[in-house]
Amino acid sequence: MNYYGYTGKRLDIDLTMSTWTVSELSPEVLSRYIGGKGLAARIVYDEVDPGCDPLAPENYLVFATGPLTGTLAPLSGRTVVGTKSPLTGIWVDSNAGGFLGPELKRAGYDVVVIKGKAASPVNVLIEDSLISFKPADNLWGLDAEETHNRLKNEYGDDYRVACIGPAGEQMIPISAIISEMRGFGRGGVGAVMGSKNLKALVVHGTQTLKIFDPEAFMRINQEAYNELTIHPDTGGGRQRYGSNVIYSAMNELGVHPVRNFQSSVNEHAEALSEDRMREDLVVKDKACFGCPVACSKFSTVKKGKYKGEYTEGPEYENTWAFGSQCGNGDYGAVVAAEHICDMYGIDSISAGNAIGFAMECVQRGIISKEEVGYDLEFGNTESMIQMLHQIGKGEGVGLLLGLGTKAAAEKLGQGSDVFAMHVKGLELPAYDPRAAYAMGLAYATSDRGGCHLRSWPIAAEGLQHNGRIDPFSIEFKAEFVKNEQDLISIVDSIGMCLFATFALNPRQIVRLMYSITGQERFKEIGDVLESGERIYNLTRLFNLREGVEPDTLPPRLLDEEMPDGPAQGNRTPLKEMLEEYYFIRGWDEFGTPGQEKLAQLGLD
Amino acid sequence: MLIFDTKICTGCRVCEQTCFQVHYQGTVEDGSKIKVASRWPEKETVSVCRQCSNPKCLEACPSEALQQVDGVIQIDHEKCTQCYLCFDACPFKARVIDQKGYPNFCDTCDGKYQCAQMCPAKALKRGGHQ
Repeated sequence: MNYYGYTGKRLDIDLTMSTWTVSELSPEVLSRYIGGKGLAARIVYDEVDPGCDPLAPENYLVFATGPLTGTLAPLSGRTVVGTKSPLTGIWVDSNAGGFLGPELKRAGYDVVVIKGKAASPVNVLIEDSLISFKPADNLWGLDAEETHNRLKNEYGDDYRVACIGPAGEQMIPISAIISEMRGFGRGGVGAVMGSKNLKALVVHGTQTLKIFDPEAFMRINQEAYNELTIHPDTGGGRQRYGSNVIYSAMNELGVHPVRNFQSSVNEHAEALSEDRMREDLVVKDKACFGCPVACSKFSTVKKGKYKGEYTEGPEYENTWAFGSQCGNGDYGAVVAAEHICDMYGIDSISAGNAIGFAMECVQRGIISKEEVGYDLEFGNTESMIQMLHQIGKGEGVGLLLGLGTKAAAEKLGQGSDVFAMHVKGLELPAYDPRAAYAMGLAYATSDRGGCHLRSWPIAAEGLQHNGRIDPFSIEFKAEFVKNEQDLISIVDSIGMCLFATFALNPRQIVRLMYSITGQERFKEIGDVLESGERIYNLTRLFNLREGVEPDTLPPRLLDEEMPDGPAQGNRTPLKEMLEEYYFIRGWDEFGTPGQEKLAQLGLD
Repeated sequence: MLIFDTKICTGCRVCEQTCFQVHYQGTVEDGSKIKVASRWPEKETVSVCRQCSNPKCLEACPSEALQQVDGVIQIDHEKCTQCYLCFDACPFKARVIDQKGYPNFCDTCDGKYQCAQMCPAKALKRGGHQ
C-alpha cells in the first residue's frame, strides 16, 4: 500500500514484556478517522476494556500524529496524546506543539501505542525501525528540564524527548507530559505515563514523507502562508504577544475571572497586560515546527523579587491561573510559577485553578491556617509558589489539591463544591461563561470536561469585527458550538494547530489535506466535516461507556449572579442552549447519540 | 549569498522543509541542503553552504571535485572522496551531508533562494557581496 502524507505504520510498545510490534494501518480507518485525535480515540475505544482503571497497565497511552504533521503545511507541528484520564475517568486527548510529532513521522510511525507496565523505570528510544528499552533509574526523580538536558547530552540535540517530571512519577492526577519544554498538559496524561514506569520517550528519524501532489501542495501552501501573514491575529498581535494577545480584551469584556470566579473586575489588569509582558519579559520569539506565527516566547524576569526566573511563555491561561485567579499582580511570580509547573510536569491551568479554590476555602474558613501551615490567601505570591511546590511533591494540602478541584471539594465538603470550578473533573480555564454564554455550552459539552479548546466561541462573541454574535443571547449558540467542535476535531486530527483556523477557512484546510494525501474522502469538505462529527460522537460514546456525569456547569456559574463588570447580574442560561444543542446533534435529552445519527456516521 | 541572524531565528524549520519540497517534491532519498540546530531556550543555528564570494572550500578540496560555475559552487560526485576537508575550511562552519555521504551544497534555487523567501522571521536573507 502506497501512502501519501501518512507513513501508514502503527508501533505498539509493550512495556511489561519489553517487546514491540509494527503493523500497517488500514486506509479505511485512516480516511474515516483522519489521524491524531480521531485515530487515538478509535484505538482506545476499540482496544481498552470498558471500566479499565486509568492507571492500570491495561490502559493505553497513544501518541498520534496527523497527515499534516511534519510537512511544510503551516502550523503542522502538533501531536496528540490520547488515553483514559485518571483525573476525570473519561476520554482525554492532550495536544502539544513542538517537534515530537514531526520526528515520530520521520521515524516512520503515524501512531505509537504504549501499553503494559515496566518492572523498573525505563526510557524508550525510537530510532527509525530500531526500538530499544533503556534503564532510567538514574533519571527517575529528576525534574523535566534536567531530564531533557541529560538525554540531549547523551543522544544529541536532534533527538526529540517527551518525559515526565516528579509529579508524573508519583501519578498525581493533574500531571503533564513535557516535550521540548512544551506540555501535554490537560487531563493527567503524565500520571498515565508514570503508571507505566516510562520516564521518557526519545525519538529520532531519518525517513521522509511522500506528498501526493507536490505542485498543488506548494501553491496552496503559499496561499495559506500569505493568509496567515496578513491576518491581524496570526500575522500581527499573536506574533508580538503570543496567546496573551487577548488579555486586555478579555478584561474589558468581563470574561476574565478574578479570585476563583468571584469577580470579573481585575485590579491587576494593567500590571499583567500583554504590553507589560512584551516590554518587560520577552527575550526571544520561538516557534513550533513549521510555524510562521511563533506565538511562543522565551521570557526572563529582569527585576523584582523573582529576578532571574525564566520560562517559555507566559501564556494567557497561565497569566490568569497564577495571576488574577490567585489575586496576584506580580508578573515575576507568574513566570516563576509557570517554570515550576514545567519542572514538576504539572498542568498549569489545573494547578492554578486548584490553588485559587484553596484560597477561597481559606477565605471562607473551610481550610484553616493551621492545616496549610502558612498564609494561603488571595494575593500572597509566596504562598502560591510554596503551594505549587507542595502539589508537585505531593505534600500536605498540596496532596489534596493535586487530586484536582473536584476530588478536593468532595473531601473537604462543607459546601465547597459550589465554588469548585470544574466540569466533569477537569478544571476550568480563564473564561467566565456568564459574560459569554456560548462558552458555557462549550465547557458543558466538551468531550474531556471543562476545556476551552473543543470550541472557542469567545472569538465570535467578543473579538471579531465581522460575524460577531451577541455574547448575552442564546440565539445560534448551539449551532455555533456544534460546528466549531466538529471543525476543531478535524484540526486536532490532522496535526494542525488550532490557531491556524483564525486565518484559514475550512476549505483551505481541506485542500491542503487532499493535496498531501490524495484520499478520495478528503476531496469534499462535506465528507471531512462528517468525519469531524464522527470523531466527536465517538468520544461521546466512549464517555457514556465509562460513565460520564451529565453535562452541566459549576453551581456558581448557573445560580450565582455575576457581581460586577459588564455582565453584572447574569447567570449562564445553560439549560435552554443544551436542549437545542442535543437536538442539533441528534442526541436524546440525556445526551446519548441516537441510532439514526450513529447509522449516518457509520458508528452503529 | 545567504546571511543568517541567529537572534531572530525562531527555530521553526520552514527553511529545511522548503528545501525538501523544492528539490525533491517530497519523494526523497536525500536530505535537505540546510539544517537547523536548536538548544533550548535560546540557541538556534543553521548549517548551510552560504555560497559566499570567497569560497575557502575550493582551495581546500584535494581532489578537485568542487568548481565554481557562474559564482555557484558545484560538486562532482565522481571525484569527491568524502574527506570533508571542505567543511573544515568553511568560515561559516557548514556541515550538511546527504544520505550517500557526499557534502550537500546549496544550489541557490537558480538564484531564488526559496528558503530565504519562505523564512517567516526573516532570519535567513540574501545579502553580502553579490
